[in-house]
Amino acid sequence: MTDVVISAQQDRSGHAHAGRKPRRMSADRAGVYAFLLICTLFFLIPIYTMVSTSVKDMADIRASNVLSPPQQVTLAAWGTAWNSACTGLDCSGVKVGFLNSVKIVVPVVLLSILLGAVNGYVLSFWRFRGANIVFTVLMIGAFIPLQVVLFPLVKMWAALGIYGSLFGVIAVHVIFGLPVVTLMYRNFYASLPIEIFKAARVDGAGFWRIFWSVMLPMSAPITIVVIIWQATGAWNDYILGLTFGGRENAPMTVQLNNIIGSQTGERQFNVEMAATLMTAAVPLLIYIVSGRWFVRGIAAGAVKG
Amino acid sequence: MSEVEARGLEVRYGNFTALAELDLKVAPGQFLVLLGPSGCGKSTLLNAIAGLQDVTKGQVWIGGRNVTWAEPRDRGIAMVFQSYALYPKMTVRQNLSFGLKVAGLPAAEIDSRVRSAAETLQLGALLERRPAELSGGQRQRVAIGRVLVRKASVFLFDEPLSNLDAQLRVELRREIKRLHRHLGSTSIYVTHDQVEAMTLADNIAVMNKGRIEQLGTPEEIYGKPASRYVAGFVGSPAMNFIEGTLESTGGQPVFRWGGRGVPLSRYDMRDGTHADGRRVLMGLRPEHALLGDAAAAADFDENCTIDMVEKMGSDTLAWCFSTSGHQLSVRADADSGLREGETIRVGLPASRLSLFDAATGERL
Repeated sequence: MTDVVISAQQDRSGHAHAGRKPRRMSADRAGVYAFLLICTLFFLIPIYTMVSTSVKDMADIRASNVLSPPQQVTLAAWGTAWNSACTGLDCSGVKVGFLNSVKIVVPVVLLSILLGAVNGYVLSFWRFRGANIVFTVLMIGAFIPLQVVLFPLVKMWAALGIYGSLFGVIAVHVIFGLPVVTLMYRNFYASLPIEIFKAARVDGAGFWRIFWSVMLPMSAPITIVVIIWQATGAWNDYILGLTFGGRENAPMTVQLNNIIGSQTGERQFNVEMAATLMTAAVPLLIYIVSGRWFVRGIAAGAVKG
Repeated sequence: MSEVEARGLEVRYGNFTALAELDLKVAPGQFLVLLGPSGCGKSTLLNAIAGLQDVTKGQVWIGGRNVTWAEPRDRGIAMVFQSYALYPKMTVRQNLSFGLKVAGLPAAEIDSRVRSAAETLQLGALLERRPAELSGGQRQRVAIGRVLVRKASVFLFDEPLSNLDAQLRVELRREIKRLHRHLGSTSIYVTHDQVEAMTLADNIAVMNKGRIEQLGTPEEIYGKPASRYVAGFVGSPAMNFIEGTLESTGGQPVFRWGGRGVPLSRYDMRDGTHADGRRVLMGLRPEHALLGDAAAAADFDENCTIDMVEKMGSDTLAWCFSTSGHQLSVRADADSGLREGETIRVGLPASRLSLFDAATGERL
């Protein structure tokens, strides 16, 4: 106690700050910066190559190496990739896959939010007998590798008549995402004061009223996390789209693979790069726009809002 | 104004008994305070009455109806919580009207009730704000407002002032008391703060381990605690305890310890108590000790050497060691000029003592 008081007094009189101001740059500092720079380049060079290749024309690509800058910037390859790149005989570009992916991702995200939020709400506030067992089973579900259940699922979906349909892909995505999404919502709701729930019950609100009017409006932080999680997950998915989507509903990732895999003759690197960049753009955009909220939402449980 | 009654109420979590066969009756319009340390079951009892806690056994009656399994909304109750429990995404107005909207009241009625509650609690200027934009005191006012608009016949308070700073607590305490006077609703109020309990209550129920130790007016609880537990829990600074024996001298009961004796002819002994040499605890509240010249008039007096003096401002608390070797705390006037090291005369008036059986803790 006494020590604390004395040092505080020293502080005020300035003695504690009497030393020389430390130098900004030192040898170890420089080493750290150099390391960071190398790491950055390591990740940036492939991206640079992709972007620069996608804006070259074929003559330029043939004449230069991958690292040299484009002689002339042209967006022709982007147009080709979007409108007329071929998968086999079908030459209507990646826009088909893009639309398919949108048709998959949007319902997946909406359904995941709804079902996950209701699940989490029930598991946090309407504890029933055996709720812990249900929760445990759900958690085990989160750790089962997809590939293990792929074949039985195909048989089941075929029996139900939804194999190869848009609904079939969406259903698989939602079901496989549900354990983690439920966990996210449950933990978020568990961090809220239970008294808000009690107050709503005393106010006379029932199960759905409390959910829609009280809980869901409070769920924005975790919902943003779920949107990012499920949207990027569903967008980047390859195996589920390939297995359950069938030909018509192939998502962008599957189509991209087909375009790159089915080309004959001279490889059109610029078109391939452009198509790949377009496919990667969506999750990238989601991260850039909402990364800030993502971190905030993940941390939301820790600090009572 | 409804009567609230718990009949043989029992709540258990696995092997832990939170409430044990508890009987309690709150008369219409009465202000009852459930007082006890954390974990004594007072909040469990309140939640069971509110319908937010399933009971293992027994019944809850409100207004002459058995509501043991009724939903909270069907019990005619309103409740204030410790953490305010306002809906964070709703404005003050929406918070106040939510329950009424759920009940399907006409908009005009809702509006007039909200306005009148806002007026009573001086919330008029804050109606369009969100809870996050309010101070702690304002938030708890809104929570109380939510109770007012419901026009419930029973108000339940779950430690409503515990999260507030000392000054606001005193202010809102008065406000709650005024509201109760004004509305006359039956109120049950849970707290661990004995000052709140003493100031607000018509009746206090002191709880311990899921049972009610004593139910009585604040005066009874303070002046004639029914057990050693109640005596120790209520009162700040705490009661002094001296262990001794209860003996009989010349047909009169005497409390004896360390060769000394306090004649108890003026003590209001419970009927059927035998002064048979049993072990007892004598309790003395610091402010009941007589000091100086007054001490000589007491039933017993002896010297006490002051070890420490605590100045409270309004009065002074002195800790002293008696010649029989016990540490006592005695309360004196602020201007009494007591000094550490000084020896004073301390007198014990038998009529204001409390005697407890050392084995059972019950008052004798």
